[in-house]
Amino acid sequence: MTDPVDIFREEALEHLSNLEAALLELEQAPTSAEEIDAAFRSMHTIKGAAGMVGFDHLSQFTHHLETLFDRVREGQVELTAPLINQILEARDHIERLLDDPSPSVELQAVSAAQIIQFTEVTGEEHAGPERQETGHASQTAAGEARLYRIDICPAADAFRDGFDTLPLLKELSGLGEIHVTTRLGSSFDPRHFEPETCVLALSVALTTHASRESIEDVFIFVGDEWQIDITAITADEDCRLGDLLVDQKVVAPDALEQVLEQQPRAGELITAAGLAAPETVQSTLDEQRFIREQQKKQRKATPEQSIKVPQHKLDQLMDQVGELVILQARLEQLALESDDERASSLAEELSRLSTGLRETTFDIRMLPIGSTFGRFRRLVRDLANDLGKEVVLETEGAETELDKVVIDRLSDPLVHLLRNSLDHGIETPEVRREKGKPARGHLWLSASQHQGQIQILIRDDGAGLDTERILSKAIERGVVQPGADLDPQEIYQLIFEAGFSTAQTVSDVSGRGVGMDVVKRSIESLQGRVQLDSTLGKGTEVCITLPMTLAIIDGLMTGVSRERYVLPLSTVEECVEAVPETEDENSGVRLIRHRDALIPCLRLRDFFRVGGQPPEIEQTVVVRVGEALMGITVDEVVGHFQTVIKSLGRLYQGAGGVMGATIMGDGQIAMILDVGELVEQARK
Amino acid sequence: MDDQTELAPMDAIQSLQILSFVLDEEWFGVEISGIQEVLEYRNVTQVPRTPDFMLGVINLRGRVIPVVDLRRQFEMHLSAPTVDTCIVIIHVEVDGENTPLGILADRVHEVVEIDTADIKPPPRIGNRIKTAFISGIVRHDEHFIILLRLSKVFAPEELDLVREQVSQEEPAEWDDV
Repeated sequence: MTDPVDIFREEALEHLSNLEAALLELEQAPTSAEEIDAAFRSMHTIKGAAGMVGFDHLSQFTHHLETLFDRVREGQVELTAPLINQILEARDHIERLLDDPSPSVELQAVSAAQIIQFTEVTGEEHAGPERQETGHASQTAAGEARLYRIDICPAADAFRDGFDTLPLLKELSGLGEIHVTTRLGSSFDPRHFEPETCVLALSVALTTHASRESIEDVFIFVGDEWQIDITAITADEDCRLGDLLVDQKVVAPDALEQVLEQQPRAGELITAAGLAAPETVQSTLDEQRFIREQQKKQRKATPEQSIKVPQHKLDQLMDQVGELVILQARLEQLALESDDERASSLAEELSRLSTGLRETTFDIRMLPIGSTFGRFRRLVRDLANDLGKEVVLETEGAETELDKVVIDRLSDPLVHLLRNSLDHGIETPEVRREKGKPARGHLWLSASQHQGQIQILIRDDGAGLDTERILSKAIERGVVQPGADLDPQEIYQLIFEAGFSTAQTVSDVSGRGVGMDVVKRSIESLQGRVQLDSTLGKGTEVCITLPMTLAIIDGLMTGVSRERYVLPLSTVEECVEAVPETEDENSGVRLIRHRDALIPCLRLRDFFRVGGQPPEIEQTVVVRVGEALMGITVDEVVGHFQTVIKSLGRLYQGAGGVMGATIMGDGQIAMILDVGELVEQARK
Repeated sequence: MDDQTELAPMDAIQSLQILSFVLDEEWFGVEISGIQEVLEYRNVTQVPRTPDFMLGVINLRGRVIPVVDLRRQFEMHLSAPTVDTCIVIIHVEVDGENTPLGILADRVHEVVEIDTADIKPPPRIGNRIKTAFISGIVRHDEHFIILLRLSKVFAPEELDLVREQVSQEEPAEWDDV
């Protein structure tokens, strides 16, 4: 990707999602300076970049938003809920404007209408983008924040001359985060106290993006006799209390050294030695704490360099690593067969390397799931507004890492589940109040890693599932026989059937009955599982369990005649020898005894029509799909293998019972079984 | 590969290079730009419960490539693989995705250059295979070569047809012993 316009678009989208995140944050805390700054910066950057790549209209439009945030920052404009709504709309509008450098007349009209709304708020003349940098020319777009110490020692006559230190501090605080310590100047003598004489000395620690010049500008009007000392502190420079005191000329350097020799705590010692009043030490300690905090922030704020890589290159890398793993397996087998010590040591070495390489490559593909959470927050917010409900979405575990492919394919089912919770689960404020619940509903979305698998929970405190209604609906639709005795879990499973919806009214959002079955299928296609739990009147919880990646799985290799089949190890319960006595000849269904229960069993040889004669003793692998157990009978169980999953391609799309293929050590291909579908097909 | 490359407009291109191969003693030709390579026959791993026409998959340098048997699609006589049996790897659009695909051939002959002017439209009747699959017929030496329109052979409707065949088959029952 070298086209500057593409790069601009991608970055602009990133900034837009930052803006969105900031806005949603601001909706809760409208005065958070950090978020306002974030919003301002994203608008500022889009404006500048848009201008550079020829998106003039966009640049102009963004300018107004930038001005708006600037006003907000200065406290002239308050971020009200309607205003945030407007800005969110503007954010969506910007996304549309990104399509074309010279947008259609309709889009331009939308821009104009929105600009008028914003200029009304900002009170800004309908000026063009020429009048760009308002009060904050000092804000350098790039560069990291720096930490300065400014020692201010006003002239003794300062107050008599009509100077005040407060405006200065206010101006400094406009440049960044400040911490002020005050102390009495060395000339202070209580016996000759004169109220009008200034004996105050100030020490200011300032974190700012502004340049040194703009700091100096603050002091442009103070008298010449003032002592202003601006020193930049680097993050590496350790700020020891003693040094600070020396710097502030409270303690003479040699005096400090003497004291330091006596250790242990500099502060106490300095106080005890009578070199400085306890308050002075205390306030300097505060300053030290502030500086250390800021330094820590700075270290954190300088992130590790990262680069952007197109998805297909990563896929390619993954493919090649997969091939390497296969090659390594072949070499290992060869070494084993040839019984050559040198070959096996080579194979071992290669195995170590390829394992490392594979892990690193996986790691690269891993992304925190939080990248999608931001989108959900907006969705929940908009949807709740549309439905006239009050809902808060709380997310947890945004840092949980998942394969990017999984994240991409997970997004739609999650959207669906959230919509369901909002639409059917959470009641309107009135209903909630009647039921004695808080008017505002809660939605929880959490992700966590659990035993090598990812668990995603979606929970609401809404109405819960009405088992009776589900059951009567199921009977009405003929899914269940009347009078069937089902436990709640079985009833919940019914809503995953196709064409099933219990919503009283079909809404725009959900309720057409296309949904939960699709959700279930997409989760299962990711080798995941969905479970549902609910308490009537209290809420519903959906639990999704997923493997961390789709590119490689732990597999159990089995054999039927000369064919090899891999079962995902996550579904395997155990392997047993199927003994003929336990077959139920009456029903024609083969049942095997497994821990005092009879479970149905599928003989792969017959099901897949593999030729050849079965051996005398067959093996049965007991697999678990959802709550159900099933046996899969094979000739032999070969063993546990790391299995690189290869797609069978378009031609074999929809091949039943097979989720992919893998290449074995000898170069032959083995099918990887889709156990869930196998069970489904076998039931029919 | 689209129709253009299989049968270029007569006035634009003077000649065409095709690879000729034999299926059940019938000569076929495919324009060479869509061909990746020709492999010796090797063991094809079956994908369970798929139409017979889709033979299975092979491992081509770490990639899993499907192999089809056009003889089944064209309802021809099947003979066991011999030393002459080859797998021709072609690139074809399947459901809008460029897919490498192996075609089983009883024999592969040579690349021949043919004059586009010599290409005759397929006869309307008397073909063993669907007319839609043929883009033209050309005479080369002693043989008639049928130029295949592969994009039609692997068109979604055709694939749906063969996929249906498998679903109509009786699924294997539970074991009853």
